[in-house]
This record gives sequence, structure tokens and C-alpha cells, in this order.
Amino acid sequence: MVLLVTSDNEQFQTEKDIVERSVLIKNMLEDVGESDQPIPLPNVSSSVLKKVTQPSTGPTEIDVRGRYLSTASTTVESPSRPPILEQSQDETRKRTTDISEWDQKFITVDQEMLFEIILAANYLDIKSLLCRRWLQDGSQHDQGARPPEEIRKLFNIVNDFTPEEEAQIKKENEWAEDR
Amino acid sequence: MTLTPASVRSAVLEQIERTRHCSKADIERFIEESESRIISLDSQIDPLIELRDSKRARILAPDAQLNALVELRDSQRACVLALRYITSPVCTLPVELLSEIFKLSIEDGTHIQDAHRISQVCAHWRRVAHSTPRLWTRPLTVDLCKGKTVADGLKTWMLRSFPLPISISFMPLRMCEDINPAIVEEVLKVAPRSSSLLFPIMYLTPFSFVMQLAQRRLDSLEEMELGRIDKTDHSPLTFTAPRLRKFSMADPRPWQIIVPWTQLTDLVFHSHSHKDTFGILAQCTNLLRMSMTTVAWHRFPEAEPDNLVLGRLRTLILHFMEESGAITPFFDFISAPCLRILRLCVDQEQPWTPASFTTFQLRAPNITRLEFTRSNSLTSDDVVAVMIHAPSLTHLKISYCAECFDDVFVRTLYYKDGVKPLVPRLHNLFVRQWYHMVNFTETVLAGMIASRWRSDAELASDAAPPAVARWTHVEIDMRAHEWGSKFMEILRDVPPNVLVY
Repeated sequence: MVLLVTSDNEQFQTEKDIVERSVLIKNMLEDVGESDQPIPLPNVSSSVLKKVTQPSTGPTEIDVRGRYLSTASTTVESPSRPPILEQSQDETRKRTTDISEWDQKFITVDQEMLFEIILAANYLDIKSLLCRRWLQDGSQHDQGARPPEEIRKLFNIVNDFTPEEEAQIKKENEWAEDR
Repeated sequence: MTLTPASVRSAVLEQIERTRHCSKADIERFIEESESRIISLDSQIDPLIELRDSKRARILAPDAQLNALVELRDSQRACVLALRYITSPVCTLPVELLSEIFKLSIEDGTHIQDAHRISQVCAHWRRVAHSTPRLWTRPLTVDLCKGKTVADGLKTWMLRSFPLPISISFMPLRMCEDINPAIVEEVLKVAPRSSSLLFPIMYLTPFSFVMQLAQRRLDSLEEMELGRIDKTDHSPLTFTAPRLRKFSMADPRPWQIIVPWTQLTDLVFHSHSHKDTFGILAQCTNLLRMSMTTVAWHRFPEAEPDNLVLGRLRTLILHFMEESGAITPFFDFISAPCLRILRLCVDQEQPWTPASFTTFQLRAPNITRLEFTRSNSLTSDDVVAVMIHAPSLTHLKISYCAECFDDVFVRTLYYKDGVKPLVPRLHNLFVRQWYHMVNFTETVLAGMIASRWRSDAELASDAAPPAVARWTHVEIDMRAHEWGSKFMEILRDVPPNVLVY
């Protein structure tokens, strides 16, 4: 077991094989060797670390609002936070995305937590948790990718291209078709 | 004013400035305020629109007033969108991390669509994507015959990958097609940072293009494939490519192309001449993998070449085509002490000389994998002779060799206790014969396979280590052959993940 200390000073006893998925922690452990000394993680909060180190219980999914679901459970919404986007019934149909890269860990989070996890993954150097699939089409499981409009809608991003950029985008799409 | 990407962009810039020193709660309050204003403005706009659209209206709605209200409402809408964007969690990602996630989102098969998709989300993502050259460096297929717009698009794409190496392959080219000089020019511009330039090996490679390539320093080039060159009377072309390791060429005059042979590790070529082949191979001292197809080697030279030692060669693939007289003496002059994998295809017209091959095997004693494909001049006796001199053999593959696979050959692999086995390490056998088999008996084959199979329990109870390796994989593909019940009965103990037939 390895003792981790988070930015809000909570201590976590975690199995070595789980924490070693983090290249940062793995390197630290190799440098320090066998030791009872806690490993400080000043850039990771306890709530995020809990999500990152929770044991695997099944495939994890993300719905169209970016909230993670367990496949076995119903949608669990963050109680303290209103839905990020208000959408029609049709739009809110569930879209799922496996994040098998994280060994199908069980996490139920809203978008805010998702991006905190991504930041933590970057700090801890866990490439697999960077969740590249959030840019892909969850409804089809690798069949096709999320178009830009869907990415915008999902993450509250605005289309702010200048007319020149829009003309350039049109051209590059024509090239991609014709080449 | 209607909401356009450009109006949203100015709203984003305005709101970024406005909220520079604001807390999240402040921004949420701004959103609420704007939303209230939108509701209020809508309540003023709707009656005016109703009035304007009404045929009974005696008084025209004051257009100027309506337009002013709509403009105000749309600017509030843009403001709300901008504020939501500024506070969205995705905006918390630092540029470096966003760039890293973009890189992970690019798949080989769809890299163009993926890179475009990411760079077409918003202006910020576009800037990040365009300043991440790694997104634009996946192998690109270029059609030299396309029009100007394709040349322009290619130029844009290539610029985004700067300064990283890129890999380019070319679409097959037909003799009658016109090459677009604008596309050639774009490819030549990036040639110095190309890591691979691959022409389809069985198609035409335009000489004018190859000549221009040879005039450039190809400092990043690691792999090059050239097809048939469409000119016969050119003088030798010398390539400056200090990193070139893999070279393939279908042209029957390889001596007219000069590459740094000594540094090559992989060579694929078609050879029309013993003399030139030996001349090139003498320089290829670092080859790890070589594939040669002989075409019309009419006579072996009277002056015998010196013995060539390919001291690092691990894989040798040889295809002796028809009308290539006297090819087997080739083996008399080659040594490959480290050779592990040998694949042979010997066309029917080729006389197989076992003595030559045996002497070669004595100089290549570490062969572990042998494959015979469409080698119709080989008999089962020839293959048995090869086995005798291949003590390290672990994998044997025989495909479409009409005369090789018969009872004579199968019986030599049969293992009997107390008898020194042939190829004792053989554990992987693949046979594909779709012809009508002569001199072949199912039960002989089944008996041979069974003789080299031991169950886990048998292996555990054996006092001494087994004299022959246990099969890891046996696959017998005889197309529509109906296997008899006796065959299946003999082999019932061999698990289906090991034996496939």
C-alpha cells in the first residue's frame, strides 16, 4: 500500500498497482524505494483523487451533458449543480462513451469534475485518463466521430469564426473531399 | 443584428475583458441579468412582429424600433453565450493539455477528418490545433494528377506540419495521366523533411519527378519506394539521403538508381541481372531484411562472383520467376549466418538444385522459419533434404506447392520413440493445398500430427524432456476437402485452438 496526501491534506492508503498507473507516482516510488513516507500530491484534491483511484466496478459512460454514468445504474446528476445545458427531449437522449482506457472505472461526475480529473491526469501523467474519447461519438462507440457542432453543444463552446476563417474551413473541407 | 460566428467572437472578446477580474458568481449574475433582459426584450419584440405580420394592421410597425430591439436582444444572447463559454469547464484546460488531448484524438485511418473536426470547433481550438504540428503529420496519400484546389489544400496541410517530418505515399499513376506541376512542386518543397516517400511499387513512377527528388537533399528520408520508372535511357540518379534505411524498387535497372546502399537495413527489389545484383548486395553490408524477385536471369556469369557475406541478414524473401534460368547457383555465393526467416517462391520452370541449397544452409544454420510458396519445381524429397539441414526449424509453411506435400514428406516428420527425430523443434506447421492431392493419405498425416502431440498430463509425467516440441499450431487448409472420421478420431485429443483443419 502507498500513502498519498492530497492538496486538502487528506490521506489515502492506496494499492501500489493502482497508483503506479501514474507515471509521476511510479517514478517517485522508484526514486524513494520501499518507504512508509507519504507522497504529497499538491495539485490533486481529495475528491478528484477518490475518482481517480476508485476500484473498477464496470464500464463507465458519459451522457450528452458530459455527466458520467455507470452502465449498471441510472443517471446520477450532481445535486448541487443545475444541468449544464438545457436541451430538448430528443437531444437529451443518453449518449454513452466507454472510457475503457481507465479500466472501466466507476465514476459519476459532472463536467466540472471531468475536467478536474483531466487536469489531475495530466499532472499525475496518466495518459489513458486524458479521455480522448470525449471528442468522439459516444452513441456509436467508435463508429464515426462527434462533429464540431456536437462538440460545441456538449461543452458550451461557441462558434466564433471570422468570415475569413469560415471561408478557409469551407476550402479545407472541399480539399478533404476531393483529394 | 443576427447571431453570427463573428458577432459571437466580438462578444467573447468583450466579455473576456469585462470579466477579467470577476469571480464565477459575478459571471453567473451577469448571465442571469442578460437572460432577464432577453425575456424583457422578447416581450417587447413579439407584439411588434405580430403587428407587422398582421394583414389587418392599419399602422405599419415602426421597423426602426423593431430592428433596434432585435439587435439589442441578439447582443444579449451573444453575451450569454460568451459568458457561458468563458465559465465552461472546458475552458479551464491549459493550451498544452488541450494540444495533448487533440493528439490523442487523431486516428490513423481518419486523421484528416479528425484534425479538421478539432480545428473547426472554435477559434481558440483552431489556433491550438494549428500550432500543434503533430496533428498534421500522419501519412498522407497524394494524387499527383489532381487539380489546383487540391494543390492549394495540400500546401495548407503541409505547412501545418512544419517543421516535423512527414510521410507521403502516392496514388497509382497510369501512363496516360497528366501530372499537375503545382502538386509536384508542393511535394518537392516538403521532400527535405519527408520521412518516407512511397510510390506504389507495381505502378509507374514518373522519371521527371524522381529526377527532381534526386536533386534535393533528403535529410529526413528513412524509407523510399519507387515503382517502374517511365524512361529507359537516363543516366544514374544519385540520392542524398543520410537516414535512408528502407528502399524498395520495382525498376528492372536498379543500378541506375544510386542510394547509400551500405546504410540500408531493408531492401526490396526486382533483379534482371546476376552481375548487378551481386554488385549491389556487396555494398549492402547492414541488411536485416531483403526481398528479391528475379526476372529473366538468363545465364549465370562465367566469372563466378566472390562469396557474399550478409552478416546481419535475418529475413530473406526470394521469388525466382519464370524464364530466370540457372538461378539456384545464387545460393552458392551467399552466406547468411544470422538468417532466421527464409521465404521461397520458385516457379515451375526453375530447376531446383538441392546441392546448392544445402551448401547455403550450412552457411545459414540458424534458420527457424521456412516458407515455400508456389514452388512447383520442388518435390517432397527436396523439402525433406531442406529439413535435414535445418535443425533449428520451429515454423514451416507450405502453400500451393503441388509436389511438396505428400506421404513421403509427412512420414519423415513422424516421431517414433527412440528414433532421432527430424526438425525436433518444429511446433508450428501450416499447409495450404487447394489442388487435388496425389500420394496423400489422411491417416498418415493424422498419425504424424498425433506423434508430435503430448497432452499437459503426459508432459507433466514425462521423466525426461520430450525429444520433439509439442505443437503450438497446426493448420491444414485443403479448401473443400472432406476429412474422414478416422482422421478426426486419431486427432481427437489435439485441442481445436492448436489444430485447425
